[in-house]
Amino acid sequence: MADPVTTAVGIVAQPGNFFLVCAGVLFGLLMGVIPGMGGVVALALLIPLTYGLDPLVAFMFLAAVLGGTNYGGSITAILLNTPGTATNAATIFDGYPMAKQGRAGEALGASAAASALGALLGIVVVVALIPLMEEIILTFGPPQVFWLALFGLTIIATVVRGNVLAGLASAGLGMLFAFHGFDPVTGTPRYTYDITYLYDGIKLIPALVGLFALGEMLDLLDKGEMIAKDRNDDVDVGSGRLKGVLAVIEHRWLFLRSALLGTVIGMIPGVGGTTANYVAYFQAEKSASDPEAFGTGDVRGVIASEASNDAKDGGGFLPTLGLGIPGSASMAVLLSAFLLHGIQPGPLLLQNHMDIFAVILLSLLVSNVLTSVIGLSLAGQLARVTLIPIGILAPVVITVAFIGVFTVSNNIYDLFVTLGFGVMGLGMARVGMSRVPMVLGLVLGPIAQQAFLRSHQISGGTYGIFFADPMSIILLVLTLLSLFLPLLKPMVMNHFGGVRS
Amino acid sequence: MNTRIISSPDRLAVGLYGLLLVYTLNLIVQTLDFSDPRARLFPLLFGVPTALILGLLTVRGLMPTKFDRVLPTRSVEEESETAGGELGWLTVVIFASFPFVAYLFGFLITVPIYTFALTSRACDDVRTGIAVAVVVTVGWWVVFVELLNVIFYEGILL
Repeated sequence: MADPVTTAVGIVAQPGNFFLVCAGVLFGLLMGVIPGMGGVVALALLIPLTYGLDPLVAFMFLAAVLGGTNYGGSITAILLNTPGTATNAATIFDGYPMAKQGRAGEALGASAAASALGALLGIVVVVALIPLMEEIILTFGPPQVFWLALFGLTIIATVVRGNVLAGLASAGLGMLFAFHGFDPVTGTPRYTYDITYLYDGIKLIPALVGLFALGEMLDLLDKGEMIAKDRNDDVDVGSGRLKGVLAVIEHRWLFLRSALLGTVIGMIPGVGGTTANYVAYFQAEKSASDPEAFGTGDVRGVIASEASNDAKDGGGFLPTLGLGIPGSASMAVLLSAFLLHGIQPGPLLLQNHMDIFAVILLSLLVSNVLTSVIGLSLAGQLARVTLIPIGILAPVVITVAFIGVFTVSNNIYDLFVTLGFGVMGLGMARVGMSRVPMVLGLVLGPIAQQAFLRSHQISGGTYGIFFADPMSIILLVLTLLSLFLPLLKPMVMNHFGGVRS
Repeated sequence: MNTRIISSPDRLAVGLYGLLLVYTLNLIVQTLDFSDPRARLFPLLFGVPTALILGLLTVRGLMPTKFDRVLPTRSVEEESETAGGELGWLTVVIFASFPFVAYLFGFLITVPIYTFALTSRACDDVRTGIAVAVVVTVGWWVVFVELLNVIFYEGILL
């Protein structure tokens, strides 16, 4: 991996690119601080704007934004009792009590150190696993890619929040949307309604921006809620930041456990960051000799939550970039960025674009360190961003979203697609239908179809090729398990619960 | 068929699932007309199960008590998170107008007017709307038109 690393260092170290990383960090911090925004919306907004950039620079920038949002969310969690992102939710349990006790500086220092070091550990683990991943990837041919795409769809659809059946329907709809336009294999026009615009199909970026950025902003406008639960115009960070940083070293074994937990959870497709910080927090509480201290302003709670939260991104990149299955919603959005820049996500990405992998990991590492330094210095000022009313924020974001979508293809009809998906995204959010499987369907649909048809051609028209080797069978079993287990579980539990009573 | 009185969130769910079901069935019907069987394969492979699931969700929305014991349902937390109601019809119309106004009049007219209208409506304050519109328009012009040299659509009427 020496050459890709050299390439990555060379790219990130260039003054202009380093400036972009800093800009990405600042933007990520801002987006992370504002509840309702976060990594998904930030990436959805920025992906169209990176279209004109070199792919390596674009991914470097996006990784920096992702790193920034993680810590941004912890600032408001600690200072305002409102997590900027869902992945910082567990930080509130001890972070806010610490702030109320006048120890906000200590909480922020602990959060900053745990975040940066957690990200570093996550990346180190991922780098160590790359040789193993490369061995696995060598066994992947078209039949395995087909099963992998199916597994990715089913696991995401059944694991994400919300109704399981709705998740599966969302994935299916995403696939159907992906089949609009000329079939690339047969040339058959599908669902074009004789509209020239639809000959190229439904484009991914307008749909993505509509589903996430527009849908989310509409949702916030609809709820009309205050940004911070505890508004306090005098956000006093206070001193104690160094004490917080040193606390991470003092509780190093707790930090290591939490970061490793976050990394492993990040690697599991679909589980995502929300799970990581809760699991790490509760494991820290349970394993402590004085669990009753947790929830009263114990710095260990902040360390556990933040270490796992930032480590999960490193772990999440392994299935996302190595297999094309996103570890979380923001990873699903990031997959779309690959397609925008003409790079096919999936098993071959590690083989053919190791330089991209290296740039992303290095950018994530640099951005997490920068985020902690900048975030710690500007925490008080950043928290004041939450004083901006949603009534101002949402229109600005919506306008920027429409402008951004137009800049990708200079096609006015893209805006109508964005609008349609935005309205649908709001409806989906309201009824508990996750939007992440739909994005995955849009991304993986064409991949699955091409892999299937290629396999069919290779085998001379027979289907035995899909069951011919162990990897295919393993992926098939995993797909079936991910599909039926969540549906069977409540039925089984209801049955046995009825028998017992 | 016994149906209970459907509360607002369930009405929305039934409406959304029903609409998506109709769209999916429409796609399936179109798929049957494709001449090449390879072009039909995947849409049918995913379209039919999707339609079945959407049908099930629609029926569940209409008769929730029959299905809640055996099908995964939303948690109480998710129910409260989906509460809303602040969005008026005028706000929705303004929100949806961007593509149409841009198509007719171009971005130079649309960006300031849209931002002003939506912000004024959302904040219920005209002066805030004007201020935000000015900032956004200037920012758009400087970043996208001057720095990035993006050529924006000029509208069919202008």
